[in-house]
Amino acid sequence: MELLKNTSEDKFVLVMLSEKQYEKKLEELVRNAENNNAKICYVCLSKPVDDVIASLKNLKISIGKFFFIDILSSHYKSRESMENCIFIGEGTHKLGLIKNAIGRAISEKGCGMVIFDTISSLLVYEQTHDIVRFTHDLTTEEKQQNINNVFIILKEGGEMQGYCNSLIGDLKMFADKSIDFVDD
Amino acid sequence: MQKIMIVDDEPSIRELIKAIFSSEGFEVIDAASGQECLEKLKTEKPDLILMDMMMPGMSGRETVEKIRQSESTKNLKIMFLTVARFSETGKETLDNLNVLDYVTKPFDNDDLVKKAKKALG
Repeated sequence: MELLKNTSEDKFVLVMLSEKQYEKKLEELVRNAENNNAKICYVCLSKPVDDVIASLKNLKISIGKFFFIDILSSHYKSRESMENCIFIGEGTHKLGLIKNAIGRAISEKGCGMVIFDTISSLLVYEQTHDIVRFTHDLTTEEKQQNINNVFIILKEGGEMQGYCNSLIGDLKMFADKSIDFVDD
Repeated sequence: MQKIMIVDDEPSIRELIKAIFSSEGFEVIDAASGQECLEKLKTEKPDLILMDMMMPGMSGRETVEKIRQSESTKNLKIMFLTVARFSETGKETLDNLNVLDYVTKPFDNDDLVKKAKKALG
């Protein structure tokens, strides 16, 4: 099944997953994206880039087509720069920093698809409406005209379930395509 | 005199819309959040609500859901103000919430008034 198409119609794709399905469906999505011709910008919001790269290698997925943005590692240790990754440090304007890093991934690295794994992780730092506005700003920017943005969201939000439901409800209002994986 | 309520967290937008509709002969009241809107609706009964979609706290969508759940407010006429275009799913949600129309920001003043008057019937 072709989930992610490199078409201008699917600029804003929302993928809703349960924790149970997360690993399996993420693999499916990433393989699907890799089959796409575009270089992929992978925004690591829920796990550090080292873990993401290890997972991709385990799955025998070549990381050559990926460029990474990592917002977690710098919280724990100072990182040496990596050729295929931008590390976002601690700061109050995290969404702005992520947006700038994505801009660089597009203009300097030629990325044509951006995968956010997982956008709901941002609820730890940001308010729901700021995240919705961020997704809107990203998908409507001129330099994003030919970019496919894939926002993966976990349906389970733990203590923040209310905010998570709110985020899903509001993002669905604007997504070109919503994929809701229902548990078997 | 018909009454319009503007719900938006941006003071400049509230002031602008107040000025536009006041000059058209409407009474205009406002609220800076979804929560304030719900509070005001306990005592006010506007003929039309212009609701911003993206607001801190309760979003416009959530506020309209609550308005539709209450017996005293469920039939109020509502239009959305939004900076983003709605998707097909979003348009279905607007239908389900019985939202009459929407205007994208930045808006054309005449277009806003025209759509509001059409919504008022």
